[in-house]
Amino acid sequence: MDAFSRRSSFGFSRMLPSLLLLGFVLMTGVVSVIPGSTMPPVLLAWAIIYYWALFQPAQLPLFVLGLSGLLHDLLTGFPIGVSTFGFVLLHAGVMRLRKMITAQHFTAIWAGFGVIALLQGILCVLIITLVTQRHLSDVALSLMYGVLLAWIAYPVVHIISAFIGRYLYKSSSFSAR
Amino acid sequence: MRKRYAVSENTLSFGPLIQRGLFAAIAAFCLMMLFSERSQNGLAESVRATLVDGLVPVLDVLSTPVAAWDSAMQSVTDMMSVYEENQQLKAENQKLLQWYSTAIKLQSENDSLKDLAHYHPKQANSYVTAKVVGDVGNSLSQRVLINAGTEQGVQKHQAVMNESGLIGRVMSVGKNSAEILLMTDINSRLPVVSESTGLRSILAGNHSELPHLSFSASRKSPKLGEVVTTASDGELFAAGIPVGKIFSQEDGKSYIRPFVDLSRIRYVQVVDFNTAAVTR
Repeated sequence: MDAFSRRSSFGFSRMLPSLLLLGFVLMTGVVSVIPGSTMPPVLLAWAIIYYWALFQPAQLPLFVLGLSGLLHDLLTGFPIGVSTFGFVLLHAGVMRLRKMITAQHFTAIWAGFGVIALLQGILCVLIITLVTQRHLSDVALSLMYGVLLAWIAYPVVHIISAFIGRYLYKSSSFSAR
Repeated sequence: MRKRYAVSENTLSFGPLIQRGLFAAIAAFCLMMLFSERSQNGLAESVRATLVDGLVPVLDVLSTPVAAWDSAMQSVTDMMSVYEENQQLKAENQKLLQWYSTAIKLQSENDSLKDLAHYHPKQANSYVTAKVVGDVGNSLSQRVLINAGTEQGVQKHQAVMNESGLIGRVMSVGKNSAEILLMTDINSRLPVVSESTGLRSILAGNHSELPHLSFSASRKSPKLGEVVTTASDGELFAAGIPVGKIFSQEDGKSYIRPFVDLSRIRYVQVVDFNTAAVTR
């Protein structure tokens, strides 16, 4: 493999986490597109941000987080700014705790996601309630259900992300040769 | 066995100062949007409309396989009930033929009465047909995105309907897209009238399939099964657009079953009842 294709392959692989996040956010939209679907937005994007902020924070640039947040707000019908702010805050918050969390067993990491997603959910509920002047219980029920589904789905997101992470590590070491 | 995960020591690609600046810019943008949404000054709405304009072509592509799947599933369901449907259609056809002859008689009677009264009919309403490309329907909001906007003549507050009846109204408009607030959304309020009792009230969305009547002008309650149509009180919609039937009555509230199956709308008509003059 020549140097150019090696570098371009490495460049593409570096984009994979961002593409994964954007893909999952768009998937929220596709799920919403299914006629008759009135399920709450599954907050899988939070799981992806949590994983990458823990293990390879540089792979999710701020502008990707902002863009994904905007897209998420449009597709879920949240007021603009809720997910954008939430994504950036989640990334920054997890980055501060990463050294403490990453040293733990998977179950602790999973539990950590549950706690952080719950806190993030409470913050989102408060912002949405303040902005839209809706009943707290109405918003809370929907979002907390979304948080629960995201927590259940976290191991799948973790496995996919770990697979991509390993691929990234291999391609970076191959490119460095 | 404790499994430990490797932590990448990658540093962020931008310098810390730029990172902080970008973080502050994103946070400031979000706060501005949220304040705008709270004060309803129109900024958040126009930003949303612009962004949706860019998103609609992507959603259009994404919704194609989902729509094809839904259509295939619908065909299978239809095929399974084809005999019963045929019998039902035959019976309906008989009824419609009787109504047709009555309608012709009434039409000629109506025409001659109009001539007698020198009645000038109102200008015909114009409409735009659009495809539903996104369903922002979840337990927080009940909206759909359509692929028609100001360039096609769609304006804010216009009525949205299909062949079965009313769907909702235009909430925000972009160049080539618009967001429709369904009548079941919690923010939806529509002036309606019950056809046989003539009771005027407001149809309020409640995020369920069955919106309810509130602020009734009378203490009487409408009858079960009664047809509800739009009233011209708000001057946004024309009177007489079919909305639904009174389905149930509980705790003094009357719940409406809309004529349109709001979970299966694919194409809609955005009708102009000269709302621009009212909302300007």
